[in-house]
Order: sequence, then structure tokens, then C-alpha cells
Amino acid sequence: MQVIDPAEVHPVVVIGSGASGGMAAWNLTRQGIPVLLLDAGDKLKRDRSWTHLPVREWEARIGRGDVPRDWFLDVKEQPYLTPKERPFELVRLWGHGGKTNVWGRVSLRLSDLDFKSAERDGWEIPWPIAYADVAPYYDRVEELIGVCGGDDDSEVLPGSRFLQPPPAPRCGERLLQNAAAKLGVPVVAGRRANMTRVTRGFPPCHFCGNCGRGCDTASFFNSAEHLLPFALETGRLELRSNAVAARILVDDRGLASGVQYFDRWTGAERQVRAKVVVVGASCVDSTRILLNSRSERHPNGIGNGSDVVGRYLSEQVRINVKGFLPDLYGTPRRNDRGIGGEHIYMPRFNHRPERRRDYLRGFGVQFWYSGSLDGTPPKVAAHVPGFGASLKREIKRRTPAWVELHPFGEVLPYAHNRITVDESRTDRHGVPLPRIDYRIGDNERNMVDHMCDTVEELMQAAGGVLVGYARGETDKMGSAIHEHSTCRMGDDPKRSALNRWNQMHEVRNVLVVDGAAFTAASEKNPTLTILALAWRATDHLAEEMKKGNL
Amino acid sequence: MSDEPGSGGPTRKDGWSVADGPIGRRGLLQGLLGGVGAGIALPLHAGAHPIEHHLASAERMEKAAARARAPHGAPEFLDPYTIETVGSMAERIVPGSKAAGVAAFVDSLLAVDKLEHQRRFLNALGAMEGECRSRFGRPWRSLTEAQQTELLTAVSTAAPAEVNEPWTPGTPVITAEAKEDPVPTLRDHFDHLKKWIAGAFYSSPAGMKELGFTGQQFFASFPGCTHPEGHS
Repeated sequence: MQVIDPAEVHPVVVIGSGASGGMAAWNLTRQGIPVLLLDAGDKLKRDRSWTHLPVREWEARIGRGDVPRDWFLDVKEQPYLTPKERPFELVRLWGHGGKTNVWGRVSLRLSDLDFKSAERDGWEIPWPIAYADVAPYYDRVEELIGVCGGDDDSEVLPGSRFLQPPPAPRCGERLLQNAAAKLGVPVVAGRRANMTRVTRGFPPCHFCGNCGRGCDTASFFNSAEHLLPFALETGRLELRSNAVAARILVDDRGLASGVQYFDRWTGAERQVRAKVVVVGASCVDSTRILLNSRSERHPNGIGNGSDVVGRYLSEQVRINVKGFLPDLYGTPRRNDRGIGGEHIYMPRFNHRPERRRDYLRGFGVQFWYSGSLDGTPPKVAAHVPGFGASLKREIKRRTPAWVELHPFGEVLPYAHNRITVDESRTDRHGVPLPRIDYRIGDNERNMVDHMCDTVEELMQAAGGVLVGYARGETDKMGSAIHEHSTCRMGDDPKRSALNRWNQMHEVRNVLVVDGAAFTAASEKNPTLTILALAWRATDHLAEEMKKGNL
Repeated sequence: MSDEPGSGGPTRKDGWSVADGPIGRRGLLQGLLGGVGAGIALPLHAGAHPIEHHLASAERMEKAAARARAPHGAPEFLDPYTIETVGSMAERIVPGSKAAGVAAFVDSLLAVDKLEHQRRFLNALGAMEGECRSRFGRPWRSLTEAQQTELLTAVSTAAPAEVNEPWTPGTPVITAEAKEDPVPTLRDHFDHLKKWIAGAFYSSPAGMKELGFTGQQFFASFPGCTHPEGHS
């Protein structure tokens, strides 16, 4: 069944309601522009998250056969393809707010070390924008969503006066911080989108450490509660749930004329008309939509005359190293957890004098679970020798001493790291599936080598021991959930798909505002920058629309 | 999709196969595992122990926990004799395992695991049983408590195939390449079983409570490190 909305032409149709789509919808509607927002999922109710259950209640619910929320999209519903020998983990969350419901919340500003990286090292194209272009939007985003952090300011991680007070380091984190100081490497307060004071009426973080389940009190930013309700209040947002966008439709001139989507549950096909289409379905799904939007004018996918759409997929390469700090053996355990994840961060340092530079770009180090009861006991148990009562005593003694070191490194944009669509394999709606072919190269392997040197030196300085350590072993590709660059921005239309305002060079009424738009990945978590760029892009879009240019 | 759980789909002639998807595609992390962003909470490399994969899957954990609460239900993967052996061995390795239903829990997880993980578990258990027969001429369940202790002491202190645990500065570093496919020793088999058992016990409410966990709470503040010297 195909249903075409009657004559109504929506000024803007936004695809996706996560960080990028939610920001686009919020920013446009508050500026008076009506938006139709298509989301592939539905509203995700909080009471399914089991965020604050006492153990007894948790146990009782399991006993009754209850299950907590199933957050992520099942590959049985939406498969994707990879070469057998090159697996790639793709995490998708379809529902209002998308992945911001359970994101890691690490909020790091990019700097000119990132924006001007290609100008320095000559690898691939440069960003068409610099830090100065984005800085005002970082300010606005941080003020809006509430980010905690320290007063540090460096060429790697620019300072900000909008940061809220950071939580104090845990014992293990403090020891690692001290150890890094011995090595001359700064470890600063982590920056996370956890509000530590009342922000726009939202209560501050209550330090339960359960952010990975979603927050009952919305004390960390998520699009579903911090953006969409405010956009709906304007009366200018229409939010359609379970609308799985498949293709962008075009008119005779090759401009976007609307969006084809399928009802997720009934399979009914619908088409809506639009003057402007803003794509924010998350990097892989946005790319799939663009590549599936083939037409006479765009035989290679919409806006893809340059053949860059789908190419240069950049994730981040990581290692996860675990160990004990014997200084903390036998210290009292605590039930309080702080904010979910680490309270400290080691910014990139390899660009500094006397540091190793046999590879391009860099890495920063995160420290999830360090010095926290959260998530550690089963892992600790696996690394304590012996058996019986003495084993249990030792597990109890060592649990407070558990630390994890987790370097995140930039993967260079390579043309062969690519998303394509497979015409011969389709989903339940008949839409071609995405194929992901991704691998790291020698540059990243050298970087991983330096990551290993760093964690070994750090643990040595901290007097620690590592367990289960295999030098060079990386996390699975895709597991950072930071996909970027498959519809990159740039000044050269032959080598990029978007201009500096996230507008397609070839189709000026299509904007792509999620991680796909990044020219390069950097080693930093992307959501803060996605929010800033989506705000910036839709400010420009609103101006252009008001001038009648679109 | 392949018949083998979790193995990904068959490879087509053009070299593409349907991806497995992320570990823990059901998403939510159970028990003690709710801290960081759910999708990134358990960064796993290919060589991670199977229990670590399971701990990331709410669906599997809930199902296994329900089984653990009704330990007399029909086994799903192991036969009744073997499940008794696992239960008995678990209780000796991590006391409290019997009450926590660890054997049924592990059985339930094994039932949905990859073939290679199932084989690895059975090989480890078989090696332990083989050692029982070799030392005492009897299976694990027929050993006296003293004999069980003697055996566990021997295997838990034997040399592992990999000598990098724990790694301290100055000792040789095992590389990821060298770590692949070592021939497991008795110690490795014991450690493999122990990781299953300890992972199952310390993700159960009993294990969590033992370590001082009282449930998900609201706190007024986070004091950070409160040790007098502050580790300075």
C-alpha cells in the first residue's frame, strides 16, 4: 500500500530524532520553522529501564519473568552485511532520542589540532571549518545540555566557562592521575554531559552510576527529554513514530522533493513532500538512505556525483587494558558510584615535543570502571588465583583496586573503508541493506603500539599490575559506536559531499547533520560536536529559508 | 542466518555475510553493569571469555537467572550428570555457588552459546575429569573432599600456557598474535571453568550483596576519594 500525503509540502522534514535530528528539530522550530520529524522507533518509556531497583526488587522481577528494556535494534529486524573476515559491530537504537538515551556522555571539544590535522599532515582533505567557527556553538551546547568538567584549557581540549563542577576522582583514578603526572602527561577532569547542578529545570545527577540504563530523572542530556518536548511545545513540530525512512525523493531538477518511508510495524509505504530534508539518522543509516536514493539525476545515490558518499568510514581504534593497583587492596568498598563511567580523562599528548610521532593523528585515554564497584566484580574474579574461601576473600580484597585503561585513537579516513548498499539483499520493506567493509591500517597499528607503551608506562608508574593483557589486542571494529565521515564536508565538491554548512554540494536542499558529516574522526567522542554542528547548520538553514534562498 | 548461534550468517559467493550485530544486542546490562553508555559498557576483544559476552546480554542473563532460581528444571545443554558435576565443582571453587544456582545459570548460557564456546567448556570439564581419573581412578563426584582439594590445589597452581598473568613492568609482554590458539594446560582448563563460575556467581544477587552492593540508589553527593592522605 502506498500513501502519498496530499498536497501538504512540509517546510522541513528531519530524519532521525537523536543528537543531530533532535537538535535540528529543536533549533528550527524555535525559530518559527515547522518541522516534520520522522523517527524509526517510538517513545521509550522510562519505567522499563529498571534504573533504581533495590537488589530484592530486581531479583523479584526476574523471578516473575519480567525483562528490562531492550534498547538496541535487533539485527534480525534490520540486518547488515560485512565481509566474513572483517566483522564490524554496528549498534543502532531506534526510538525517540536514539542513542542519546544511553550514550557514554563523554563531551570533548575538538580543537584546531583536529580541524587542521589534514593541513598539517596532508592526509586527505581538510575540514572546511576551524575551531573558531564552532566554538560559539560549543558554548551554546554546553550551556544548554549541561556538561561537567574542569578548568583545564589546552591546544588539545579547549577550555570552557560553561562547564559545571566535575565529580571528584575516585581513589583508583587519583592514583592513575598521580602516575601520569610522574610521566609528564596531564590527566584532567573528565567532561561528561552529566548535569551536576540544576539545569533548565532538570535535577542534577544523583551519582547512582547507572547512566547506561538511561536516567530516570533525565539528569544527563538526551534528545528525547531535553530537546523534543521543547520543540513540541512550540506547536511547530510534528513527530511521526515508527517511520523508517528509506529514500529521499527528487524532482525533475534533482532537488529533494520529499521522503519515502515505511511504517515499521505495518510495512505501509508513505511519502511526504518537503522543501528541505535534514538527514540525522546516525552515520550508517543516513548513508544507507542517501545511497538508496537513486534517481535519473542521481544514479549513484543522492548528491553523490563525487562518489564520496559511503567512503572514508572512520570509527576509532581502541584497546581495553585491565589491572589492579595494589595500593588499594583491602580498602573499604563503597556503594556510591559517581557518574557512570570515569571521572578523569587523559587528552592526546603525542604531538608534544619529545613524544612519539611515527604515526599520524593521536589518541586520548579513558578509564571506565577504574576504582568503582560498577561492573567490576565478575571481571575481578576471573583474574584472582586460587579457589574456595581464600579466592572469595581475595576477590573482596582486590575489587576496590580494579582499574581499566582505555585509549581511543583516530582512524584515518581511507577511501576503501566503505558503506555500500546491496541491491540483492533487502530488509522487510524491500530496501537494500547496508554493507560495511572496514579495517585499520599500518598507521593505526603504530598508534596501537604507542597506546600499549603508554598504558604499560602508566601502570608501572602507578605500581600496578595488568591482567589478561595481550599487547596489541584491539577492541572489535565498530565497538566505539563512533561512526563518521561517510558524507564528509569540504570545500572541494569533487572530494566532499557537503559544504561548510552541512548542505549537499549537489543538492542544496538536503543537509546531513550527524557524524557522517565529519571530515575526519579525531580521537574524541563525537556527540558534542554533532550537536554543535547541527545547531550551526540549522541556524544557517533558517537564515537561508527566511531569505527565500531555499 | 547460520544455525550456529552467534556465528553470523553464511558467507555468500560474493564474500558478504549477514553480520552478528553487537554483543549484547538486547542491550541492557544487568546487575552491576549499568554504568557507562550501554552499548560501550563491555568493550570486548575477540579473545574475551564467553562469560563476558553473556554479561552484556540482558536477554541471556534474565533467562539464565530464572533458570538459576529453579535449579531442578530440565538442563538445556549439559546432561543431568554433568550439571551435577559442574554444581559440585562450582561450590568448591566459589563457595555459595550452589545456593546461587550457578550450574543451572551456566547451563542456560551455554545452551545459547557458540559451538566453539560449548566445546571449550566441555573440553575444560573433560580435562578436569580426566585428571580426577588419572590421579584417583574415579570421577570428580566420587572423590572425597580431601581429594577434591588436592586436585584443585594442583591444577590451580600448575603452569598456564600463557605466562602473562598478571603482567608487571619488566616481564615479557605477550602479543595479541602470540596469544592466539595456545595449547591449553590443566591450569588453563581450570581457569576457564573458574571464570564461568565466578562470573555467574558475582553477577547473581548473592554475589553482588557479598561485595557490598545494595542496589541502585540515589545519592546526595559524590565525595570521591576520602582517604586521609588522598593518595597524594
